[in-house]
Amino acid sequence: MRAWRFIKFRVIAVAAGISILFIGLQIVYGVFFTIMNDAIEVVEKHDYEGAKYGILPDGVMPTINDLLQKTAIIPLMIIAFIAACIVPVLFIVKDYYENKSIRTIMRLPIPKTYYYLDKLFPPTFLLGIFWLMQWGTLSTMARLYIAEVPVEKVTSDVWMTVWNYPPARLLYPFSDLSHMPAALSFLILVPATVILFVLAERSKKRGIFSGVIACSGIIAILMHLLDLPASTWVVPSITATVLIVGIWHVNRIQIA
Amino acid sequence: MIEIKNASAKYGYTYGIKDVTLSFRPGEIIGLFGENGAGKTTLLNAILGYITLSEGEITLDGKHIKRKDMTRISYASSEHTLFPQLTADEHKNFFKAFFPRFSDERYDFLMKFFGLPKEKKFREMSTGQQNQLETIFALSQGADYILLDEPFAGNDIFNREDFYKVLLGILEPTECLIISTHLIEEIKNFVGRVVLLKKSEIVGDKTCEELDEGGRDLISWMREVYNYDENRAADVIRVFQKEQEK
Repeated sequence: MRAWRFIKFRVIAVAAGISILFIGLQIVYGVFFTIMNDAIEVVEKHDYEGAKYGILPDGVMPTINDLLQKTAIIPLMIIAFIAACIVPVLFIVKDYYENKSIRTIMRLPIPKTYYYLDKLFPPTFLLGIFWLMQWGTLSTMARLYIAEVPVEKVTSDVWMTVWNYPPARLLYPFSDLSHMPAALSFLILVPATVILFVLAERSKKRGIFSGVIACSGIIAILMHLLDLPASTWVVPSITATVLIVGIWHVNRIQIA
Repeated sequence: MIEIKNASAKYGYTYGIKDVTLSFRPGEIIGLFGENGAGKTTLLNAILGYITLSEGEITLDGKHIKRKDMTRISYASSEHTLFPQLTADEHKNFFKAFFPRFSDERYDFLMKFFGLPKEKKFREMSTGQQNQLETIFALSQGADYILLDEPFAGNDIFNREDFYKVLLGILEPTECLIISTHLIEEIKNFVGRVVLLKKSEIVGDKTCEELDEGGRDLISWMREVYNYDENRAADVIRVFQKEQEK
């Protein structure tokens, strides 16, 4: 019960975030279902008309990626990552601005690293759950597409197509597993970079080094988003660096 | 015993404290005095590990102060460092979770003495009440070394006077109290030792017995250490009046 009292705000925030993202994914799925059925109907009508008059070529079913583009999956991914950035910022800023409770936290007889982990864990957990939920949604969409679209209208390997959809490939690089460490690191890198920026800002001049490392985190994020080849090893390396510097910062640099 | 050996801490290029060597023993009540920016708060921050020393070291019973040692050091300031959304009793539960020697009896007694509401949220309390609550937790934590940084800000003189008396009544002989304050006149009869800081350095450190033996009182000794010029104010007024007459 004691532990609950201290973590309830984080649990509520993360649970609210997961609920909103779950609802978002359900909406995306609903939109996908509707536009896929519409597309099937259009193609069937086209083929019927073509067969009737014998002049029209066979209708072409849009690929699963064409349909995905029409759903709000990309905005939802952006919202998830922005939420994961805002959560730790709000938690840290709350410790400073509402009151100077950071000074009470920093003199508790527990390792200062716990403070860092306390801020890092909720957004990383949120992103992790979102990653799994979105994976499930995309897989369900692909299965639905395979089940509903007539076989002769499926022009390419649905699974290959969906995991090669650029935004999906950034998070689910199943077609090239060498990118997987970068994709998973990315989920930690985004909140860790934001946290390091906030800590660096709070430490003013003492935070310059951490600020520079946080900037390298931004560069790594951009490299991953641009899908540059070097991101395969740069993103995990920078993620490890940002985490180490974050822990070093809370332990060695004045933040209270 | 807390020992500070040749400790220096910098804020950029400026010293917060410079080459400070001091020790605080169990049972002492120490007044930490100095003008604004003299380094009183920096010294307390260094003991608490809020800031990193650029030189020197601070030890507790001969060992470097670790996080677990924070159970033995408590702190209160007038900066409102508690959690705004928690009530006094919720804070008590919070402190009890981290500080196993937390004294319920002392907490209840001091809450009653100050007449503080236990179910009111910290942010809804007045400034004076917030400072009182911080001081109550510092005294109830079960620490051996209690650091109070301007703890009486926002409290009226009667409250403060009563509080000194209560403090003397409740402190255990092994507890060491370090008070940083400007209210020298008020606590001169309450402290057993005085440490004076000026421009980040220790300029004086005497026990009240030493002062008594030398036939000195605290205020005159401080004036001497700080080279206080009694005629300074009169001289400034004279110059000002002359300029006005012109």
